[in-house]
Formats: sequence, structure tokens, C-alpha cells
Amino acid sequence: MPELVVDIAAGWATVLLFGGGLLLLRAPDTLHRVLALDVLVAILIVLLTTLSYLRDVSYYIDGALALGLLSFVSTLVAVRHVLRGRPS
Amino acid sequence: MGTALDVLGACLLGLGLLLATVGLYGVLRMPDIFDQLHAAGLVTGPAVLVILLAALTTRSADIVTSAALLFVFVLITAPLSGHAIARAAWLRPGPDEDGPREAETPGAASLLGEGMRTLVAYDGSDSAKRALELAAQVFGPAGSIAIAHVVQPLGEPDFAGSPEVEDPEQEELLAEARAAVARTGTPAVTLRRRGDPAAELIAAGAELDADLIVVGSRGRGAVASALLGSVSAALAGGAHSPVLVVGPSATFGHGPIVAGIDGSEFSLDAARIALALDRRLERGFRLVHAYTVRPIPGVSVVPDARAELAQVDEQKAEELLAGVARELGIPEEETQTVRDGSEPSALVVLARDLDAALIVVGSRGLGAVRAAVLGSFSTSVLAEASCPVVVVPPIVPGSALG
Repeated sequence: MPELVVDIAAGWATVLLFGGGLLLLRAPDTLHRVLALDVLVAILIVLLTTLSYLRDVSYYIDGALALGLLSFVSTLVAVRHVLRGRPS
Repeated sequence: MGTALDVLGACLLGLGLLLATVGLYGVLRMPDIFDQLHAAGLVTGPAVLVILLAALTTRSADIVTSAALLFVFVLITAPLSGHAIARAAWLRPGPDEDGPREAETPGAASLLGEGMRTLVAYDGSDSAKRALELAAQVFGPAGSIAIAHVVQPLGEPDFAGSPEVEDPEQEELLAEARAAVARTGTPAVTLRRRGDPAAELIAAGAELDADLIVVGSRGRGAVASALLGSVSAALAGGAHSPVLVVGPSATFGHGPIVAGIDGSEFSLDAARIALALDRRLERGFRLVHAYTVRPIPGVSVVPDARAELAQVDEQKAEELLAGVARELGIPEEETQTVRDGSEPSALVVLARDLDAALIVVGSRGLGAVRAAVLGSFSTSVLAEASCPVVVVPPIVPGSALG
């Protein structure tokens, strides 16, 4: 892929990251915050993947995988917290 | 070839970012969490997947391998976390969301007046007729009766299914039931519901704040009900009030109410409910602890040792019963221990000898399958008893029926 395209993609993903941050700040309650963090992590995964294409190394994607795993588990735990009152 | 791959990669990147942008815009603009979830699903799912697909055009084996791994991971987790959030939003308590939680029948509680509120499940079967008859005779004079009929829709249960849906067959059954209750001179109201029978009955019981739910039972054994699904078993595990199960051959005797205890919290709650029922019905009361002599391998061949062990067990049982009786304030002459091959059948045999009106037992609230595998005390009593059985689910507060 031409470097310019990937550059633009990474830049745009960074812009989206700000949108995700705005979403997190505007969230009125816990569930909205969980959703916002979910979206933020998805955008971060996109950013890390484009970075990996840009630098032509795979480690960023591995990092994204770990981040995704963490996000998945914490989403489930946070949702449990919303339903049951406290994580147990 | 190289150019084509580059173009494809650029297109995939562009498409992924477009999806992410659209999704993010949607999440930012939409007010309700359910709408937001829809838009967020676009970002967390397809957008990430498309961008990971672009890895195929990088010509690097490392990147493609890692991307494939992440692709599969996202494919699995994105829908799961979306579903978890949606479920929490649907079920969570609190008034800060305007989404409807359950179909409500406003004013249903006020339909049932003062006194004991009894909810009878009716499906037109013989056992349901018996249950209704018994409920009208025994509990009717003490309060009022609501008759619920649940239509089980074939296939997908529709969420919009409101209690108002007209169903000629349902109307006919309910009219028949109302007439049967009216003959005993008890006021009755009727409820029309759609959906899974056990779940709807539990919900109806909670809405009416029913003191007792009465169901007929087809008298299937533990295994058959686990496989075929037993409404009475599901109710006994999850209802918010005691459940009176009328078996196919159960008759309301002239004797006392028999409450079985084993010293656990569940059985204490059951005994309290039984006492409350006794205050309503004034049939006499008998607190029973059924126990078995523990078989100990090796010892059982020596007669003396066996007798001694049996005595120890008997003493323990007496102590336990005396403790519970003291706690609940029950006079000694209303308590009894009984020993037999198995605890449930000992209780059932005693109830038959006493010509008991009701047997009251607690339930651990095991699901149907676990109950069949582990052996459920209440299920065995239900299967064998010759009189109606009240099963007290674990979540019933001890003060119910007061």
C-alpha cells in the first residue's frame, strides 16, 4: 500500500479517537461509559492496525489483540456490576 | 498485480474508516442506549474487521498471521460484548431509562381485594381443573382468586405480545374457569398472558403480589419433567410466592398441615410459610423432621454398632427438631421425627397416615436438570405425595403470607 494512504488512515483514526473521547465524556451513566470504552478500544485497534501496516511490523496487532481481550473481559465485568451492584 | 493489491488495500482501509466514522457519528447523535448499541456495533464489528482484512495486501506473513488471529477474536467478542451491554440495559433496575422492562397490567393488584391473594394457573387440563376446584374451596373463602391462562406461542415469542391479544380458545377456557369458581361463591378475576408458561406465571404472581400460586401437575417423575419441561418444577424454583402443586391423584385431607424440615434455611422458611397457612386454614399443624440412618460401610454388619449408630442419629434428629420448634415457637406435641429408607418417602408416608391436608417443603431452587441429576427433595415429594404439596421457593421472604 502506498505510504501516503496509510498515513492518512492513521491520521483519520486519531481523529476518530477524539470522537470516542468525546463520547466517553458525554456518557451519562455506567452503561453508556462501558459502551464508550468499547467503541474507544475498537478505534484504538484500528489505529494500532494501521500503525502496523505503516511500520511493516506485526507487534502492534499483537498489542491490539491483548487490548481487545482486556476490553472484552472488563466489559463483561462492568455489565455484571451494573446488574448485580458489585463485582463478585 | 502490485498496483491492484495497493488499490484494494487502500479501498479496504477507506471503507473501514468510513464505517467507523459513520458508526461513531451515530453513537454520538443517538439518544437511547439501544439505538447507540446498533451504531456502536458498526465500529466494534465491521469497521475493525474490514481494516484487518486490508492486512492481506501488505505482503507480510507476520502481519497477516497476527491480523487473522485478531480478526477471529473480534468476530467472536464484538457481538458478545454488544449483547452483554444490551442485556444489562434491558434488565437493569432503576428509573433512569425509559425502556419498558416487562409487559404490565396496570391495576391488577387492586383487582384482588383484601385477604389472601391466590393465583391459579389454568390450562383446561384435568389436573388444572382439580387445582382450580381445590383453590376455590380451600382458599376462596379466605380471600380472592385470580385465574391466569398462558397461551404459549409457537416459535419465537413475540416481544410485543400484550395481555390484550384476543384468543377465542383462551376466552372460552377462562369463562369456563370463572364459572367453576363462581359456583363456590368466590370472586375471581382472570388474566390473559402470552409466552413461556412458567415465566409468565412467575411474572403474574409478582405483579399481583400473590400469596400463593396454585398449579396442577401432570405427575411426571423427575427425569421426565427435566426432559419435557415441568411448569410446576420451574415455578417451584423461581416464583416469588409459595407454590401449591396439585398432583393428579392428590386429595385435600382432613388432617393437619405437615411441614418437613431438615435444619436448612430453606426448610425454616418453608416451616414459617406452613405456620402462616395454618393460621389461615386452621387445620392443625405438624412439624416433621424426616431423617435416615447413615449407612457406614463395614459397620453395618455388626448389629450392636448399627443399633448404637441409629440411636445417635435419632438423638441428633430429635435435637434438631426441638431447636427448630423452639425457634418458631411450636409446642412439642406438634412435632415429630420419622425415619425410613429415604427422607422424601418417609415424609409422604407420614402425611398419608395423618390424612394430611397439605405438605409444605422448601426448595433449593435447583433447575429442572440439576434437580433430576442431584435428586431434589421437593421433586420426589411432589411425585409421591397423596395430598397437595406447597413448595416454598428459595427467594420467598420469610414474612410472606404474614
